[in-house]
Amino acid sequence: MLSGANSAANSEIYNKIKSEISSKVSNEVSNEMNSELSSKANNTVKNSMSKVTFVLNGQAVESSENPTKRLLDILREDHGLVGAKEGCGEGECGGCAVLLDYKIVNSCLTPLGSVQDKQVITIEGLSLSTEGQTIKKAFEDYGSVQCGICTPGMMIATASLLHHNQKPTEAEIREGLSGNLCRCTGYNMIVKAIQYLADEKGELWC
Amino acid sequence: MVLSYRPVSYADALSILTKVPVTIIAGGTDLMVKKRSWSNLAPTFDGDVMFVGHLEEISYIKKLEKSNQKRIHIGATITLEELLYHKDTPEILRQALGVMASPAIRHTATLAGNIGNASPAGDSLPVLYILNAIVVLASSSGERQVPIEDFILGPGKTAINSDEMIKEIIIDDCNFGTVYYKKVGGRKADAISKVCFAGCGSKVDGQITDMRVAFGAVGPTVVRVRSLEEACVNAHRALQLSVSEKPSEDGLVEPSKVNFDQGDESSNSIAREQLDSETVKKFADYVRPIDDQRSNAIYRKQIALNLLKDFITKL
Ligand SMILES: Cc1cc2nc3c(=O)[nH]c(=O)nc-3n(C[C@H](O)[C@H](O)[C@H](O)COP(=O)(O)OP(=O)(O)OC[C@H]3O[C@@H](n4cnc5c(N)ncnc54)[C@H](O)[C@@H]3O)c2cc1C
Ligand code: FES
Ligand code: FES
Repeated sequence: MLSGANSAANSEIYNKIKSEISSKVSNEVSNEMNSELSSKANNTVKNSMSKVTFVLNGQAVESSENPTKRLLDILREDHGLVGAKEGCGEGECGGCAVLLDYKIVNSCLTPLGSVQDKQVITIEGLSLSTEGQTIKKAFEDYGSVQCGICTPGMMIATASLLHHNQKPTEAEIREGLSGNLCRCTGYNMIVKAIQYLADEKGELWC
Repeated sequence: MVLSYRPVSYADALSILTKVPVTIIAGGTDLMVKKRSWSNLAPTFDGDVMFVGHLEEISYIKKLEKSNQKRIHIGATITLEELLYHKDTPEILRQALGVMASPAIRHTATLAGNIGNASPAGDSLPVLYILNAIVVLASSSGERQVPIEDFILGPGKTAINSDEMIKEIIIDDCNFGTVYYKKVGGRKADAISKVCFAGCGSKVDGQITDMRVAFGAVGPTVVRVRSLEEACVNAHRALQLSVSEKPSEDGLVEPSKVNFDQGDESSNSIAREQLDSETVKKFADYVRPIDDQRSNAIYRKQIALNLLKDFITKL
């Protein structure tokens, strides 16, 4: 009884916050764009692209969410895949990185509609593979992880880099990591782990 | 009601454009930031959108020759990363692409998007001005070719009509002797330029025959001043004529005589230095940056002119 009342109250609060957020955003939008019709409410309704289908960590999935929504939100909210993190939300930190057709992209900048028919691999999927396990072990061995918040993105960047360049130079490794920020390691330990992966585990990336 | 269109073909995309006004999403790396909303809410697009990034028909890089001029055609859905590593990409463009954003962004972002965004700080733009880029706009009633300087009208403003999309970008395929690209930003990757500068030049027998420069982020649009480029080439020619004492009979200079390193070296190099300083001074009138959150006008102008000076001395 109590808990029921609680959850009813909660959902009321939730709805209130949600509508507050919506109207706040709508106001900002209409002020900024001076558009007669504000989009927030409309944006969540039906789209001509009614479903988006893609392969997520090896499994075909379907989403009927708004195709302009961020892949990051679809992964975290709809699929419970919280390995990709929202750091900056605007492409600068790499915390949200995933592999799209085996190339690193920022899921905070990727609209759902543009992954139609493509392969998305998140850190959860990568970790299940031999490549992922090998990267993980190397990161452990080389002290490439401290607080760990950048680590999923760094591992994704590593997989993307080695997949396309089996013998990277140090400069190329640093370039490959350039979109991923780490506040703890100073990068050198991550670079060393990748150097090791390229030198000793080359066969994995072909 | 906001709709998302995903055309099945390029022709389908053009036909959607005739029917409804849409915002075209290529990589989305500019739009998703601009239209950013709260977590787990859809971005704030205020009208219908059309995804084009998947269109194969306009994903190409081709070298074509027309009336003896080689030009490179870059399809609108080619990503920055594909262009960066393509064998036909001119060196000056490769240098600009190499310092743009990060691999993650370059994997989906497009050159068409950099143009469509029309940011004064778009890093590919000075290069596109130098390579005399033509933007090919297509609609279901045909195509038109617009030079880049007529396409970009101001920050975020372009000459595109609502029923048109960028089909391809055509650039000169030149071999320059000197290629110079510099971007000044707050971080090596993922930085929006405070200033960017592109310069290209060629010499034949020590004589400057071609010199092109363009500045980004120092005005509402990229600054390229062809008349000053020409004046600079002519001034160098005049200087060389004056130092080489024996013009040939037809009035043309004998190539072997045209060399700054010969003759009275010190007075030549002083004359050359003077000439270069004058050139920089002339360009200064056209470099009119502003203060904003990334930098200020004084710094921008000084750096832009220093880069020009550095380029000219290396020519
Ligand atoms: C973290 C970060 C770092 C960045 N770093 C840089 C940088 O260093 N240098 C730089 O110059 N930019 C940078 N950018 C900006 C952006 O990545 C580039 O401008 C990129 O080229 C945009 O391409 P896109 O395909 O993602 O464009 P989108 O966001 O899809 O579109 C941009 C604009 O172009 C229009 N458009 C796209 N394609 C077409 C078409 N075929 N026909 C008509 N209109 C079209 C769109 O409607 C929109 O108005 C950065 C962005 C982020 C988020
Ligand atoms: S959250 Fe996507 S790059 Fe920072
Ligand atoms: S380990 Fe803490 S941010 Fe990289």
